[in-house]
Amino acid sequence: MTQFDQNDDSVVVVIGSGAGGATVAHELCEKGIKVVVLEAGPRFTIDDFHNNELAAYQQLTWADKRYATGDWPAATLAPEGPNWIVKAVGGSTLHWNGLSFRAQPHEFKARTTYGEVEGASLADWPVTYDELDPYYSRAEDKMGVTGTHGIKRHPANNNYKVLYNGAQRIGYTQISNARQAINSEFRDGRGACIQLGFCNQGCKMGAKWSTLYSEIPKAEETGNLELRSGCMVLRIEHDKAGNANGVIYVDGDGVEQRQSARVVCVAGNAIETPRLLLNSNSSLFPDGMANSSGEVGRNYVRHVGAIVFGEFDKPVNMHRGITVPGTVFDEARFDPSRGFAGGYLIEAVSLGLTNLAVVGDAAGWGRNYTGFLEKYDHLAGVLLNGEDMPRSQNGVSLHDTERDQYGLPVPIIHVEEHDNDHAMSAHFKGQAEALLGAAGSTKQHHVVTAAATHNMGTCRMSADEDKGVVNSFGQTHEVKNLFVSDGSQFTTATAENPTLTIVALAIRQADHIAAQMSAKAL
Amino acid sequence: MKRRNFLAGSSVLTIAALALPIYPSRAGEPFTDGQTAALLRLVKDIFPHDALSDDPYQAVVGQLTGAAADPNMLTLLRDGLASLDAVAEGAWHERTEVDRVSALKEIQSTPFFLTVRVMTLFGLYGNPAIWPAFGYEGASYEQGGYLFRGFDDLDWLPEPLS
Ligand SMILES: Cc1cc2nc3c(=O)[nH]c(=O)nc-3n(C[C@H](O)[C@H](O)[C@H](O)COP(=O)(O)OP(=O)(O)OC[C@H]3O[C@@H](n4cnc5c(N)ncnc54)[C@H](O)[C@@H]3O)c2cc1C
Ligand code: SF4
Repeated sequence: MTQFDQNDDSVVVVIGSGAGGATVAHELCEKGIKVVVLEAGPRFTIDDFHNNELAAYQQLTWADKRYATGDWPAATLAPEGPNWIVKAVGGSTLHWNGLSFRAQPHEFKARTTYGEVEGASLADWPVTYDELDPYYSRAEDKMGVTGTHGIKRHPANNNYKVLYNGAQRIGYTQISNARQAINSEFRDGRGACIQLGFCNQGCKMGAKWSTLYSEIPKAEETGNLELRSGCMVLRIEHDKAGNANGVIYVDGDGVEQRQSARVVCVAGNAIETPRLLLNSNSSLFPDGMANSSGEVGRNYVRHVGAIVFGEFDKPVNMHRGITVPGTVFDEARFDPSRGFAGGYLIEAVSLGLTNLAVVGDAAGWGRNYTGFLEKYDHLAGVLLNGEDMPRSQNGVSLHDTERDQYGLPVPIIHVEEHDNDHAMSAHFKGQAEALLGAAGSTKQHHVVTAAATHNMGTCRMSADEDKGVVNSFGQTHEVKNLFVSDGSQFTTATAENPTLTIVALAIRQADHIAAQMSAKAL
Repeated sequence: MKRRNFLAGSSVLTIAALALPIYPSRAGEPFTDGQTAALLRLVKDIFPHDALSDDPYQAVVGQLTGAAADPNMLTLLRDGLASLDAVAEGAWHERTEVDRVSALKEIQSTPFFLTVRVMTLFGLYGNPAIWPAFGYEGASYEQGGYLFRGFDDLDWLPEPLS
């Protein structure tokens, strides 16, 4: 195994080994650049994963203290666990479902398209769809997205049949079970999906793309990667000129260490990334590193979410097979006549019995609730994934006094929902009831989703250094050798699940870093 | 709305609470027979399923009893049971279901109720022994997934074209 000296200041240090971090690391390694990845969590193998919701959650989930404030559901329903993120090598690509959609061209111009929305901090991305197009294609190839690059789609499972038929009967036309980063056949050293139904628990077939068993081992094979797991980065350091020159971390034995760096890429997911920048304050950067704009930690977006379950007279058995097996795109369009800006996707979804009992009604008890749970194998679920409005006051800040086990201030995640979000979820609820009803559902049950799985926007991209933290390559405006490589970069949420865009941006960023390094600009 | 506000103080909700420890089971002591019977009645009333035997509920009572090794938990449970008896003006667990449930509604925002509810939630629905009664089939890896075991056996709707 490759090892680099801690004083080696020619390495790129990448913080976090999830979708963004491991991708940028792998791409750099392929170009002959030396990389040290520091990952806070442990390194598991596929054999370690559990086909059990409780055990998998306990094994993988980031459980360090966080607080939710504001008026979003997490503030009451998950006040100490508002964000569902993995702490392990592979990051949230262990939990994720594999849905891999491109954002739409107009969504990169959200401010121009939607116009002024009062109380929202909408802005255009400094990168266009056309510029990202080739990188989307490379990302789809890398991840093995069905329906692209000649990769065949999966057969329809039970839950998808309900979504498809219901959607068709209410007049929707854009219904698909493609665009999954889940192998339908053996590809790229990974096996095919056998419809286990435990996509969120770590795929025991390795069929679902995860950096744990794709980007990381490939990067290791180049001889240019050293991955240090169990290493939590506490802060980034800089030289007198204000360039990043190393990071301080606690290793698995609890010992504080320092790794020198030529370039630092932060990819801790959109809560930990801004938190790390805020914690890296100094006399030169009194408000946190790369935060002269004051935008670090702001404009947090997470997608408008909700689930509706339909009860049917005949069995569905939604738990059999791919957890999120298909999507309706008809509502993803821009159409203010519906009463809201932005669009949304309707995705089929299943939950195991344990998770259903936990989230079905966070305060539920008694015969009403247990009667619903008893319908388990006669239920089908649909999920809302919609663009939420960014707001300057929504985001990540540091607790004044409370510290976590590393001695770092506990992050507070504050969200005040925008009326646009409420209008969108009300619209979805009506459509979901109609869709399920058209498929034959006799009764619907509404679920409030609390924990955010898509976290974005907290170090937003902007061409203007006063209005955003990073430029279109994820490079911070203020510290030229410091990059943000995850969903924190997103200027706006878009209606689509974020990971394909994160991976496309990471590939593009690696090209940029390599070019700048050879030009000695970094 | 009021009901949810009370939950703010209890950190043990939603999916994040899946990290909650499952306590080792213990029997009997430190509770009287009456208290143990009341605990069983309580966990059954919170999540009643007529198709289930008492066994999975007994298992939850065992976990509660195990948790009561912590003196704070013991006090919470004992006092909570006493408060139910006070509301019911007698032995709560010997009342009819309608009366028991209306007493529970009066205390459903108390730390006692919320704690027992959450522990029952995980202890009961996390117990694989009850899953067959719901048609939930649990771990599938050992059986080769559902690819050849009905992932697409829904036959009362037309096959999707795409
Ligand atoms: C249940 C679930 C389902 C999902 N389904 C989908 C889907 O279908 N489609 C989709 O597009 N997206 C989905 N997502 C979202 C997707 O997982 C994330 O968008 C993606 O993984 C984010 O990538 P990332 O690199 O920003 O962060 P992550 O993948 O979360 O990786 C961050 C890593 O950084 C580490 N880290 C953080 N701070 C530090 C530090 N200070 N020092 C060292 N290491 C640190 C963490 O331990 C973690 O391993 C889902 C998420 C969940 C939870
Ligand atoms: S359904 Fe497919 S992708 Fe999901 S866990 Fe099973 S094998 Fe993996």
